[in-house]
Amino acid sequence: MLRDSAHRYLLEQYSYIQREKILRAGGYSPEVWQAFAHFGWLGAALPEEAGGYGGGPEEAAILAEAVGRHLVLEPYIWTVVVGGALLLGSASAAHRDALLPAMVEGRLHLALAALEDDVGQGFAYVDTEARRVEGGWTLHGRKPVVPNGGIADLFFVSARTPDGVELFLVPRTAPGLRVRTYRSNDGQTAAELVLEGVRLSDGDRVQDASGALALLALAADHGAAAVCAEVVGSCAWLVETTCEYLKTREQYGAPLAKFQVLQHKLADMVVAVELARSMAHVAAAALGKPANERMREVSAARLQAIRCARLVGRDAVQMHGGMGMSQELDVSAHFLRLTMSTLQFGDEAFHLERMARLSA
Amino acid sequence: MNLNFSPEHQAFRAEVRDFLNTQLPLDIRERTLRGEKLSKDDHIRWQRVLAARGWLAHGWSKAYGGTGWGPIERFIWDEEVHLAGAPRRNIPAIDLLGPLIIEYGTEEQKQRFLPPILASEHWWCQGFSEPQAGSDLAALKMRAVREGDHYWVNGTKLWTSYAQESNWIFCLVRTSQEEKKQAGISYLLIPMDQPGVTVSPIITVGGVHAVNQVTIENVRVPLENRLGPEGAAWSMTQFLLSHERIVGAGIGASTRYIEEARAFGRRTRRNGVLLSEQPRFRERLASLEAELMALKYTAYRVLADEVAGKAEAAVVSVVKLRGGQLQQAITELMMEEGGQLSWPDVLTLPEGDPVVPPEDAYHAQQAFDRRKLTIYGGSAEIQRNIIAKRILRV
Repeated sequence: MLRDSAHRYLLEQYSYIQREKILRAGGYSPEVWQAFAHFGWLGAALPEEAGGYGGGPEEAAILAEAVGRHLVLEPYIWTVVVGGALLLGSASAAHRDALLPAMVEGRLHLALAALEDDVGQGFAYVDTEARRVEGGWTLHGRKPVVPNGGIADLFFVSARTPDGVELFLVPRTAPGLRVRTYRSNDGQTAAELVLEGVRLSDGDRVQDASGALALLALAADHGAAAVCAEVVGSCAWLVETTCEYLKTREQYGAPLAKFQVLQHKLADMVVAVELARSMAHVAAAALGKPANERMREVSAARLQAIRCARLVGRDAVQMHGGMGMSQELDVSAHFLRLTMSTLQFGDEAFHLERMARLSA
Repeated sequence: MNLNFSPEHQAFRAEVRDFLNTQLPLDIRERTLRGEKLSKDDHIRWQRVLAARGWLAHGWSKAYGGTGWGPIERFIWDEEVHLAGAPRRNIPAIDLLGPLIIEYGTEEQKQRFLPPILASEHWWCQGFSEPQAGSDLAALKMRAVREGDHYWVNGTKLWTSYAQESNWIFCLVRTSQEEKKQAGISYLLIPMDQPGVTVSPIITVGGVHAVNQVTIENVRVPLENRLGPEGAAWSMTQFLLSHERIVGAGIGASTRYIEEARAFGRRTRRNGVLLSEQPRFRERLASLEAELMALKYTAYRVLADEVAGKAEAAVVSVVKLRGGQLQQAITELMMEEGGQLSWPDVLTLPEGDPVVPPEDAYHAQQAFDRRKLTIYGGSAEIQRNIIAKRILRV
């Protein structure tokens, strides 16, 4: 039912043309987000005690797949999946009690500012500093690439203390915080954060050094599992669209679909999507498991999703010829999003290394 | 097989390198190396430097103001300009139309059209592809109907590179409806600054405006603007393509990308360690270098055969196919290894202090844009068909 209602709404309200309008208006539609909240989707994957509707990662995967199929710009994965996981894992009951309901109601956007100049997914490579002051902290540092940073109200910011890496919650309006916004290559909003003595209280700490890195890894795995489903939605759509295109486009006196070399390419795309689809389910189910098992299975799923995204994205463009390169056609936008997805929540190298380590 | 260039050619390479080091404007060089888009003025500035040295028109004989270079000199030039970060020239005018005019043009046409190309006054684009005629070029539909001393032209060209910066277009047009679709096609030279010629931009992935749709509606073109005999364009185009050399290999471009990737590895840390010290990155890069070396020596071999007059035209397809794939693979390496550095859309980054290192900002755009290399000028699928048909004879 969740799947049907999401597809129905997005089919009617989120055509490529409507998406283009949202892009031109800044890459985010408050109306669409309110509709998501109204339909109960923002709380669909959260337990009832957290103000949600009793679902879990399976519900998140259903919505992420719809996000992928319809190429939704609105930050379901960043605000709800990752932000939700971070709030649920916060050491502060106040965060959970006050912020989760606001998020579920669509009144609060969240972003994770945990990566810096180090290009890996290692959350431990952080130079931003949190210095102890009377009654709290000051933060100093820079987070160049913060997805969803264009619209987030609150940022989860990782910083180094003498004890290790800790995680803080910083409001967009905090004095000493400079936010410069831009877009990511897939059209979503992003920002650079410069923290120049941002003053925080003890209550603004989400996790201390004993739990911050584990929480970040867990939240990133929630994001990773959702991206697996998103990739399946996008790739399945590209396979259907490319197949239809090849049936109608004539070259050398025959529809392109009659050429066996193209049929075989499409067949390889189908194989990739089916494997990625199975592993997206595995990833969603893995999120409730003990850390090592979870990480191993999420990594295996991400590897399939990354390979699927590359193969299907590139070949869909190739088979559409010049049209596939043109912004006018949604194929190119899917290609951009799929390409960016291969670099989020751990890239191929990250997941290969992690899986190798956990399988040894 | 001799894999070395002769001492004369090595001296020529040194001369070219010295010229590029001293004459290529630094600002142009920097922006080209970064992958930024240049203005037409930048291109003209560079063409004038080349023209002053007599090095603008490579495939033309000296009698017409060209360089008189042979295939090897031109190959060396292509390698060196890419390495140096020199911008492209007006390729359609200089490498395609110029040789066609010299071979098939009337004396009047030569005098009318060749000097303005050398003076960078005429800027040409190439009107070949159409909405229903991509790789299947002979399916083109643009019509030219003869009436007295002129033609009336109607139709649409697609994927016309840099039409927005051109004042002339040379079009393949259908001048008669014959049985065989390759027959009845002619070349017309059409000025673009007139009513009836409309250029509509096509924006490609990464926000690039390089290609266009050009519609031509009831445009009157005088007979003296037809190049070659009526209906002869197909064989003229075969002449053109048989002289199309192995620039499609992009060896200079790939060599430069490899250098860029190596420099990128030396300044970029992953998990606290430089990429250049990580076995996985080093092996990926070495693997691509091995591919580049194989491509380079295959191109040299084709070149040697060409000079010896026994070139197997279909081997050019091997080089074009692999060359495109290699450029894609190296730019993708940089994009992928850049991780979140590759997320920002460079066109939207704020002014002031750079958010990500400027030399890394364009990696993703380059990787997206390079996808076109296996689509245009005969797609990867078409190149494989040519290899199957002409080399394997199946």
